[in-house]
Amino acid sequence: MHIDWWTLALQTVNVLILVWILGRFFFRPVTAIVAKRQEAAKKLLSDASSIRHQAEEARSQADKARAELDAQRLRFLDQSRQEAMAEKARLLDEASRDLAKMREAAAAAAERDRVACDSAMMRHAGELSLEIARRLLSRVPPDMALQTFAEELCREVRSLPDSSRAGLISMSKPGGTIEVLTATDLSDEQKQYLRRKLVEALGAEVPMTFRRDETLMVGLELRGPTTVVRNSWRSDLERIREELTDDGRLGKT
Amino acid sequence: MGSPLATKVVFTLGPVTVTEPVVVTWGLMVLLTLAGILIRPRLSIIPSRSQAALEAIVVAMQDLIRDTMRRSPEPYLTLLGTIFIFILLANWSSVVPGIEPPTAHIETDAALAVIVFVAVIYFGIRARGLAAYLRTFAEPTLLMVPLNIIETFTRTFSLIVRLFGNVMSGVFIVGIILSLAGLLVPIPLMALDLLTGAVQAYIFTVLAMVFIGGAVGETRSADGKQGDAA
Repeated sequence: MHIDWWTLALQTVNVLILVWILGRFFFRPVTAIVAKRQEAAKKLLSDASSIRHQAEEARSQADKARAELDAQRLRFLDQSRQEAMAEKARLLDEASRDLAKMREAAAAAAERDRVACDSAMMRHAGELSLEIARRLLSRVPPDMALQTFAEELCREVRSLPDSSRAGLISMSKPGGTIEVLTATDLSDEQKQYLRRKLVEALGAEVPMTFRRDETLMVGLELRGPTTVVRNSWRSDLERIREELTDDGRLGKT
Repeated sequence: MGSPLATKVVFTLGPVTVTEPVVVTWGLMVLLTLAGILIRPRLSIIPSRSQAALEAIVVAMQDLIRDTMRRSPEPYLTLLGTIFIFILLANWSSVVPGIEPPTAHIETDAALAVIVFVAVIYFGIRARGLAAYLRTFAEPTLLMVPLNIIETFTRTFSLIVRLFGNVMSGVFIVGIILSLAGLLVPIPLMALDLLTGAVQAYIFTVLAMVFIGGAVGETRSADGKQGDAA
């Protein structure tokens, strides 16, 4: 077997040259571009990681802000609920007060209506009773009625205190007179009768003038400057009404 | 057909005889240089398909070196990658009619083995220092020094013989079949020869890695894994 040493040497040199050529034109550029791409990929990954970190931080802040908003919303809801409850209580209280006022006003109005109604009923009853009494009295002879009222008037005159009766008597001085009111016109005889009975009751002669007053309904009234003696249905009715009103019996009936 | 062991002289330059394997090697060098010159300016950070394929080859080579030597592949990539590519293309050059693979001649295989032999010593001394590298011949005991020295030469010789025998035998068999049978009969054998050529390129490169890795010794790999020198 023969070995060509020149071939061996040349091939050795050739391979070494080829190592240099491929290293310069192939392996180093390719490894450099791969390394460059790996660096770029690392940078991209690093940037992506940084961006992701920033995004996570932003999301964390957003979560925190949302939690704060939720807490604030709950606080506002609670506050609004409390305010609504307070407003509700206030409105209920106000409505209760208004209702009480309205109830009181209604009760007062009802009371007023009832009083007015009672008064009207009393008035009507009084007029009705007067009418009844007038009709009954119309069946009684006029002289008898006059005597009855005259007797009663004289009894009241006699029951007057001395000072009052003296007041009436003092009207007998010159220029003074006692006015006698009657519900109907009196005849001369009736006037004479009535004057005689009054003189007896007063115990002194007193000038008298007679005048008709239909508002008396039935009865007599004796009027002096300071003293009035009544014995008529009008005065009786007024007294009865006053007594009923003063005693409050109207409200109880 | 001449002897497969004989080398055809193409021309002579004074005392220098330029044989056919040298001329074929020059042709391969021109081809690879042109390819490198064309590829280099076209490399982009966004790779084309062809660039991706080339990068895949380089990255696969880096991974192979990293896995085999347990070291960062950068110092060894150019040498080992060039050896692989050259042997592969030299083996596959047989498909071109009239061209005999340079690796079918023992001078080319010897040149490659010598380069590996020198590279083993160079990288071993560079990694360990001269004294430490020489001490590796005394491992595991001093008695192993003669055997280790002999093994250094014999493994280089085995590189030569393995590559030469496989490639030469393939070429020889194809030549015999071609001279005996028709035109299309040797094609399956030629396809098998291509596979053999690729396998032999891979084996030669891996063995070179193992030898260099054994010389540089055990260290942490680039990815931080602990490895053993082969």
